[in-house]
Amino acid sequence: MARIQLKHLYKDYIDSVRAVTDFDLEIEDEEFIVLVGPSGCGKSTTLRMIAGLEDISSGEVVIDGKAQNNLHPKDRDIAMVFQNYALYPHMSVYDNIAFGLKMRKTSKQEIKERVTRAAKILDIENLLERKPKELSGGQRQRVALGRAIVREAKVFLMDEPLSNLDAKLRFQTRAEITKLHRRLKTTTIYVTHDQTEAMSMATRIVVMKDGIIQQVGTPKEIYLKPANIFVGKFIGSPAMNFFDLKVNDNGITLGDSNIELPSSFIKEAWSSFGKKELVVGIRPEDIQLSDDLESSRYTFQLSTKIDMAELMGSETLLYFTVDNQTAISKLNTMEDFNMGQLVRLSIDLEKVHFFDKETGLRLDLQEVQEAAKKETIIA
Amino acid sequence: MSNSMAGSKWMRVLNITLIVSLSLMIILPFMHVLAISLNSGIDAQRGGITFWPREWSIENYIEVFKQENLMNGLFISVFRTVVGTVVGVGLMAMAAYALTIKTLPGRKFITFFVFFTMLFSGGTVPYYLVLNELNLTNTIWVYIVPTLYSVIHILLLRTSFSQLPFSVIEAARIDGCSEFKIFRSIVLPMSKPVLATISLFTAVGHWNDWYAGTFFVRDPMLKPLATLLQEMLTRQAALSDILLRSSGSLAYEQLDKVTVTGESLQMATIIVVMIPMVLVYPFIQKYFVKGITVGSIKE
Ligand SMILES: Nc1ncnc2c1ncn2[C@@H]1O[C@H](COP(=O)(O)OP(=O)(O)OP(=O)(O)O)[C@@H](O)[C@H]1O
Ligand SMILES: [Mg+2]
Repeated sequence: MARIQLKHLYKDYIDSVRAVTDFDLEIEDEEFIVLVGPSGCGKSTTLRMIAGLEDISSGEVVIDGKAQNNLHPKDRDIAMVFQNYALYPHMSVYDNIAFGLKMRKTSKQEIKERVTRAAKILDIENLLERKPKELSGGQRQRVALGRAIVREAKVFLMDEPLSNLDAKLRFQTRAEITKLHRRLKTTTIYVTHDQTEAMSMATRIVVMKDGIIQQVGTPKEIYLKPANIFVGKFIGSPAMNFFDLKVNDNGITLGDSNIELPSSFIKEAWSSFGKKELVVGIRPEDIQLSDDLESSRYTFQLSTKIDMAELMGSETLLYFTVDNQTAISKLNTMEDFNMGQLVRLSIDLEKVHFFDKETGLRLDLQEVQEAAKKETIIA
Repeated sequence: MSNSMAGSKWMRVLNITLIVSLSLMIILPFMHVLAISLNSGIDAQRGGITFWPREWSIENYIEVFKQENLMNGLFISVFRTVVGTVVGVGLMAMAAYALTIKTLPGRKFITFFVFFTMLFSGGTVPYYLVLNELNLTNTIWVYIVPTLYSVIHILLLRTSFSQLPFSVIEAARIDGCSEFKIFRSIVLPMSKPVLATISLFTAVGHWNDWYAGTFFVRDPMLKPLATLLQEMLTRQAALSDILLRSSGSLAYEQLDKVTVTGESLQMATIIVVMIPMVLVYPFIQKYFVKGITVGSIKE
């Protein structure tokens, strides 16, 4: 049970590589925070600074009100699952799991109870006598998890614990970890570069890029309101479609085609963005066949030829080209489509994400609207 | 497919040939030595003994064991070998491990400082003077203290330690292990093969060293086995030399009594010195396992 404050953390490696820049985050007790981002964005480095395995160049790590910067890892009450298991190869599974307890002078009887309990939770009771080299990858992974949970530490740190399991095992273990968290309620920081893991496990997600936090929010917030183009592109599968567009007097220009829009929208766009050049992001599931869509104040229609259709179980992915870019639509149908077939797609403008082309930052239509409304009321 | 099969077949043939020839290179000289040591000395002098004694005799061995202080020498040898190896390898491992820690201040300088001593040696006389100043001469510690550190062994250990999966050490750190305990319970057990190798080198070095006992120690009760046997060999060689050279003036029956001669005695000596080490091998062998860190981290 712990509250973690990460205050403006910086990490500069010796050869002046800045791996983490101004990482600032408050983590509440019992939270399951997921750090997500592409390879090399500083996730492991952040985790290792919290664990005390890496010096903090500047900033402070505070756990339950106590500064941790100068504490040896063994004196911070944390348990960690490593990106590569890091099991003790010369010890049996039992001793691997028990090692941390032995180091902390737990009584033999209690060690036995706790190891047995952890082994039961992770379903590795029959492997306790084996050496790590006699285990499969998934089993090793579970031993590594066992070593962490048996400690009943204040904080769990997990560095891509599922990254080398096969799809099925990964799915299973993911659910297991979520269950485990629900049961133990230990504050957890979990690192992954897999956005599905992030979406499904986190109470809050931290999206990172180049050592800088891009956005912090619940999975829903991150999905529904990505703070910038990078987050929009990174979270969601298949990825969000992006188009450059210009707003003009009677609609928007997308590549060569002019799309006419309700004048109310144009007005809003003009007044709230004050910009002509935007990037729009549209999630594949927000592009639907025309007659599927409920009527909405803002929709616009698009006629296009299908380049390719992919059946994904109960869903179908349609590939088509807009403005010389491939776009994808995800349809909730098993209908057959032919290559080159002409379809009419419609896009709900309320679900479209607008980004500033220069800064990549999100432009929020509604927020701006509301702000504007408030202003008029005050006035 | 068939190509690679043929390739692996040739590799097998090559491997086996190589291993057999290497084994013969060790076994044949050993058999030769054994044969001469079990042959009567005078007869051996005629030469022509290869791998089987012509005139069986254990006189050579009796002569070896007649040596005074033999049991005492054996004790000294065992003492210096055991203590020298355990303490030496322990200290070298600690030094080597420290040199793998990236945050050690002045790591590069210390490494160079250690390495530097490999390039020069002071020579016997200055060495003796230093030992004398340190009050080590004519004590049992002259066998142990100066040989505690071997630079090449430290460098070998350092290389081996630095190849251990570092995250395992970090995992132990998080598990609440003190730095010394990490060294003892994680680093050393994962390094068993290299430690066994270095220990063996060190032990054999101690066991075979007659030099220190000859030059730095006067007390006969402090001489190790190797020195005693070496001294006996020189004495015997000198004796039979005199006897053979002045045989004209000496009674032949006197020469007849000296059935033990230099060469066969030498060979018996070699065997006697060698046997304890040979007996130790099977016990050390179990540590020469490969893949001790397999399963620790994902590759
Ligand atoms: N010991 C080091 N010395 C110098 N630079 C380092 C060191 N460790 C990491 N880096 C750099 O710091 C940056 C962040 O690395 P980090 O390991 O935190 O990335 P990551 O987000 O965990 O990536 P991955 O998903 O591949 O594990 C990278 O650019 C990396 O090259
Ligand atoms: Mg990483």
